[in-house]
Amino acid sequence: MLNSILTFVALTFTAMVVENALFSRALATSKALILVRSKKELFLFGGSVTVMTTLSSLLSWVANYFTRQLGWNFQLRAVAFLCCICVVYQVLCAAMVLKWPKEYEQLKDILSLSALNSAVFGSLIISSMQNYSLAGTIGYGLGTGIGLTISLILVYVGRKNLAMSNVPKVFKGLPIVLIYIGILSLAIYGLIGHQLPS
Amino acid sequence: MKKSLKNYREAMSRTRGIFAQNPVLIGGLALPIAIMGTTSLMNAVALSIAAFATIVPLMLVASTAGKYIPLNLRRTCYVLLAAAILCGVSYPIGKISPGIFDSLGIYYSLMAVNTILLYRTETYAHHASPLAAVVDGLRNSLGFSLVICVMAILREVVGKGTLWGRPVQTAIVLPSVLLPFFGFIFLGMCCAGAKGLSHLMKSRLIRDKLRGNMQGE
Amino acid sequence: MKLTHRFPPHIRSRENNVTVMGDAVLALLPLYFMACFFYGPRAAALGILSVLVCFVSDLLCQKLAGRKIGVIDLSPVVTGLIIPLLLPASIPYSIVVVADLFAILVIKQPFGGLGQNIFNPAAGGLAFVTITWPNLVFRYTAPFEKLPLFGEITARLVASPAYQLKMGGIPYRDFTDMLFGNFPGPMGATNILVLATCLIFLVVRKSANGKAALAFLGTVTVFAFVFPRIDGARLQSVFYELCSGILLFGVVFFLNDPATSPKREASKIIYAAIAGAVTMLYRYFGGFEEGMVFAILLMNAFAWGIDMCCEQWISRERRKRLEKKSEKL
Repeated sequence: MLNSILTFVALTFTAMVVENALFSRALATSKALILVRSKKELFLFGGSVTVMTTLSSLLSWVANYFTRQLGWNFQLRAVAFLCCICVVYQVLCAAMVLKWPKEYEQLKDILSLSALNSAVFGSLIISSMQNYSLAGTIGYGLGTGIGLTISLILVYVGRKNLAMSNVPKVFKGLPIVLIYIGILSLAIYGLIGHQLPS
Repeated sequence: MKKSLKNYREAMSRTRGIFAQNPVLIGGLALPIAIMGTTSLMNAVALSIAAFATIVPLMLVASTAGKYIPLNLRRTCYVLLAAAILCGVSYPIGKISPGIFDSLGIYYSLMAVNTILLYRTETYAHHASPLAAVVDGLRNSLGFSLVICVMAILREVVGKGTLWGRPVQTAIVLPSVLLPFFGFIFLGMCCAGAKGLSHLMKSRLIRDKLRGNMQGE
Repeated sequence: MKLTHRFPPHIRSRENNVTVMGDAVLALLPLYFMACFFYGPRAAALGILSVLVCFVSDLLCQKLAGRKIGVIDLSPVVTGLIIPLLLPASIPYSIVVVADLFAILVIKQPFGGLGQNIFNPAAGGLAFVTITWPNLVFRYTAPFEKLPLFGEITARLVASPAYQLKMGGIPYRDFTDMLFGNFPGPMGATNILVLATCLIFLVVRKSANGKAALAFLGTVTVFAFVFPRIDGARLQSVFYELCSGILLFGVVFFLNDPATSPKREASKIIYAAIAGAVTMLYRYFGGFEEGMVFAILLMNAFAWGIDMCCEQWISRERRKRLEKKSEKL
């Protein structure tokens, strides 16, 4: 019991800091996310990614167990994980339509963007590749979501800082934010010191 | 002068998706693949084949049947279809090199949820004819492939000193070029370069037009 | 009426680019003198090459960006002088050039150039080179070894005390040797006494903040005392932590960089204290024996945030005090 709690905490922390989805694996990088307009959107996105990863990692551990028994190869297993994500997404959508229809209309886009995201899918595949236990998989999923939210907040704060600089015209917008994320990624790489298994 | 502006506009609209509105450099789509999948030319070629295989058929599906599926099921269907296609395409891609899936890691499967697919089907394919949607899909995939192949060639030559696995003469080898942080920085520079190039061409045209106007007067 | 557009701050004072950067250059020259004393003329050659590369690349970038070059700008000179001092004397010339080009072309110019950069260029260039060639950057020659100006280095390369601390060993060095820089380490970061003098010089000239330096060194001391890397010997651990690696050099030149550190006094002290904790974190758990350059890059991203938080906190305190005063009246 204590072992699983320790694994959970350790893998949450690993996924948040050391194997950060944005800075170490470049997942969930897209123009809409790194140039997000308001803090509220950011927290909504981060929150829904965390919920999606935690719930789908639960389902994907079960799927991983069964597909390994059946002897499916890597690509087919990935399809199975994608099915898990889609099932969780549909259930969440149905629950929101039934209980909070007004909020669902507003959050439709953000929900779909956060569910079918490379961060969510990537964390499931990585947990299956590394053969984590149930507690570990859930911890890794939770850590990925929280780590992604924290890194997007860092990028948002950085953009506010960049807005005050006299950035050259060619670099304004997407390029300078990518370079900023690159330098932060360089700083975090100093903590790891070696290439992560992809 | 008006003629050269018109020619420029025509050329840009004909290459929409390749040079004009490149999905990676201007649109900021499929960036994870462009950053982590460009560490070697073999990876980039495999990912380009995967891009063509997923984007083009799905644009066709989206423009014909996609309109009729309700919104919350639509993206799920596209993504699952893309993943199934990737399973099938993995056999010919595996022939490129024995260790290709080890070096690609998770990024091959991530092509199923790539943002070029998700955005172009939503914004373009639903109100376009099937032919136009397929052509748009081909253009975007070509633009994406060009960008990642060029980036992969540069990163592999500078980072490992090889090209397609064969050693190449280079002045200096910087192994850290293959790490994610350099991918971000390099992609940022490429985006800035694309922006600068388009600004340069537009400003040249405007300058020529003003000169033409003054001479005409 | 001719109106010109300038970027803030709009306040004039007796200090400008030449005085602030000039102080830094003056503080770096004694370090070069000591480096040449220990390692021969190669140190000076590395420094001159680095300054030339930085200056020329900065000029080219400014021309490309279309800016007028009127002001004498010493900031690329400072970057060029800092980079070789944190590398071993036996480092090949090409590595120094790569570090310079990365520092200017990636960290400094895309963000806007002089004063607009968020990250410290020298720290960025060094971080890049540390990751690319860790075996070359962390292998030093012993002092007083004859190093050729050009060509292959055949001298024996040894590890520095920082490596021994990371591996859990005890660097057995004489007390006076450590203070005078007579041990293998980065060219300019080993002379502890000279660095302390430079710090005092910069504090007196008001180009550096003494309280921030004390906050940083205090945090490092507390960390090294409470969690010593040398089992059982706390004071020895504190001494070696302060003298090994590039800690003191970072305090003198990286924490006080006017472009990348916070602007308010209170935020400078908080920034320095957090930077001390993060540096020790990188030293204890990081992948490299000296992670201060990465810690500096990380802290530079937070400098503006710390400034904003301090600004809000101080104005809230001021308002409360004024309200209390007006209630009394």
